[in-house]
Amino acid sequence: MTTTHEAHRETEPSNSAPLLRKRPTGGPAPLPRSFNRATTLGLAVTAAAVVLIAFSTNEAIRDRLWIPELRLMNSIADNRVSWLTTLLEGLYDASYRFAVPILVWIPVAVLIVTRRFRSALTFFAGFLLVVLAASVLEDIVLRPRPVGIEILGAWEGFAYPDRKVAAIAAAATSFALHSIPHGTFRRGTKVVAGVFVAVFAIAAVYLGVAPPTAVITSLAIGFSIPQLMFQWVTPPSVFPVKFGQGNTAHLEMTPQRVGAIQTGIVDQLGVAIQSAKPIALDGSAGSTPLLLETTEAPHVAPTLFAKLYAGSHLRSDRLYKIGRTLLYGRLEDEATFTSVRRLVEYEDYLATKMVGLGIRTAPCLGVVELTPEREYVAVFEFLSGSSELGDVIEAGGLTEQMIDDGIEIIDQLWHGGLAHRDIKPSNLMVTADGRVAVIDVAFGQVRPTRWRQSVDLGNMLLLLGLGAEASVVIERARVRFNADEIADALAAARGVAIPTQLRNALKASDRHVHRDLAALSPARPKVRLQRWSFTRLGLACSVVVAVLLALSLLAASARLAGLLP
Amino acid sequence: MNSRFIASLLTLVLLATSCATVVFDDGQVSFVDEDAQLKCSQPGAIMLAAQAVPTATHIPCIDAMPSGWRIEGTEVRSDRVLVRFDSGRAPIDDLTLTFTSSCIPASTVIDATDSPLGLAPGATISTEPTTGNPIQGIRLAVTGPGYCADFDVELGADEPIDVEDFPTWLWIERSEIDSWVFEGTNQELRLDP
Repeated sequence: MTTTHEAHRETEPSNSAPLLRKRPTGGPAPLPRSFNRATTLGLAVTAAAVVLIAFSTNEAIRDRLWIPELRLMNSIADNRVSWLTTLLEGLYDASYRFAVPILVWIPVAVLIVTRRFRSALTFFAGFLLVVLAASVLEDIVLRPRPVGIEILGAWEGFAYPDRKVAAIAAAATSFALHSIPHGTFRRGTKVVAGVFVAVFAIAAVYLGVAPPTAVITSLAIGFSIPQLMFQWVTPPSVFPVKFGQGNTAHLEMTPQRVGAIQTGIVDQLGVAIQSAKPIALDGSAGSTPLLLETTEAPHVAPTLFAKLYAGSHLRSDRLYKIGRTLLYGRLEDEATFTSVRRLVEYEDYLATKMVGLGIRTAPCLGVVELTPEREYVAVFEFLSGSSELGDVIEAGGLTEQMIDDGIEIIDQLWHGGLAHRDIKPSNLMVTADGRVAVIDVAFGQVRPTRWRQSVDLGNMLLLLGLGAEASVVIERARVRFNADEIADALAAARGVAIPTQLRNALKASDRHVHRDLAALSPARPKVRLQRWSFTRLGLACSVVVAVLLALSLLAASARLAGLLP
Repeated sequence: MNSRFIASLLTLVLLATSCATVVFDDGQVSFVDEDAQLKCSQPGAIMLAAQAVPTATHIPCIDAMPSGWRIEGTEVRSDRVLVRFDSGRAPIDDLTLTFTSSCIPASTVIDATDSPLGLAPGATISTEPTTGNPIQGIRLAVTGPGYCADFDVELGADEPIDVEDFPTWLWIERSEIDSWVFEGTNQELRLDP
């Protein structure tokens, strides 16, 4: 039998691997961070808006701009054509009354229904930020509506920038970016949205509502803020606009990213990769799991497993931990990682540590940097021919050897001063030789509490209890753990301490696994999960205040935008 | 508490500070910029109010505020001007001015020529009680050629009020506002066509 550690040695790239670079070239990273064209355009337009606003606060410069444009507007007003005036009055009025609510509320609702919360929030916040910025700026510049002209359309507030034009531009831009998938259809939508906004802007000037410089500034604000927020908060390479695509935490495997993974692994690990494909995305939200097919070479396994980590995963980890702290207090180590590098380093460390302790797991072959501090890949041995323990249990194939292996893994973790913290059906694999290995060690903890160790054992017992009689599981567990430890474990493994996947499997089972196991152990009161501390209270208060403030600001901005009465 | 938590708190405080111009009012938020208020020292705001009610021969502006009073918000749009005040003390709770082209005068005409509301030539002031459950109030309507300034007073206590406690108002003639524009645009343009 080949142990995982031996397999590790077989697949480990040696220093003499011909493809491996000993040192970084000093050139760009495999997936260099770059401003794309849209971001550059957004920044340029923002800069133009800032310059225009700066001019408008300087009396000498603004008079040179404002008086000629007032002359121009007077000339337009003097030559208004009645049919065109009627048409533009109708368009202007209807556009603002109906288009903004339709272009904002409906897409945001669709994004929420399709669980694209980040996009929904970015859409809404971007739009409201534009209205808020326009509102604040108009009170700084204090420019009245065009003088000497009969103003035919409805208006609100000072003229520079015009809040309505900015809102229409922001609504149309946000709609095209967040609601329409990338491609021909989005390009078409952009053209239609552009024409719509242009007609509205022209109508504003023609009807004497806003002067041209105010309209241009409003368009710049309305376009650039949503564009920049879209690129920075929901970059399409990480959050592509797609519907019905499952877990949105995963990074899109664009040709550029796949190429970068191939280049990075060759350069940094000395292994040539033929293909990199996402695998088992539903079972992982903390990273994007990949299956790598290697180019045939001596000492290199044909298939490797990899986990792609990016800023989105780091943020998810932080939010998850903050959420847990709010809901339950500091049950265990809830400290967040400071960077993607630290996150991937931690997983590498734990995998290496577990291999060192002799725990059957997929060894980490190395870490590959795609974009410094932003995107990394941890490459693991692929447990070829293995099946998830959950599937084996479901098929009725759980053996005593597997029960012993599962319990041994927990025993090894306890002895090594570690906790896995995510013992669930999909994280235990049955290898081709019928042995159980543990994977996905990223959530592990060094020097866990007694409670956490008990939870690991309890979850393992519950999992094994799904496929074997309670008496068998307890009997095998007693080989390595005493009755008190087992009783503590079953008292601790409850509620949120049981991973969702295992909890669902227990609910779906026709047996009462927990009760049956507990009946064979000494009675223990249930372990309370709520932990109160000043940190939790402070965090809860901060979150409540921040949410109330944010909601108040959103409501005020929405009222300014005419979205709320 | 770790440094990240402290940083988050600091960010929150900074956010709150940056929102210093945000005033909470009955659970709502309004954005108040001193320069954009309808004060007699702010010609831009007066011009905008004049554009909002183009029929008005006179435009009101705030000349002075009694201590404790503050402006909660101003909204100027193409058909009206709305200014909300908070007196900060009983018996007056809130005061709202709605300046429009016309309105129905209140039931009782009063003589308040020397009141802080001020009266432009040709204007009259009338008053009537307003009811609202549980708040009771008083309406003061100043009507003049082409305009109506409706002062809606919400009472926070069942005590008589004295208009002497109100902000002091001045009424600017439209021709005077025209002269500002006339001067500002090299003697080419007036406020209205």
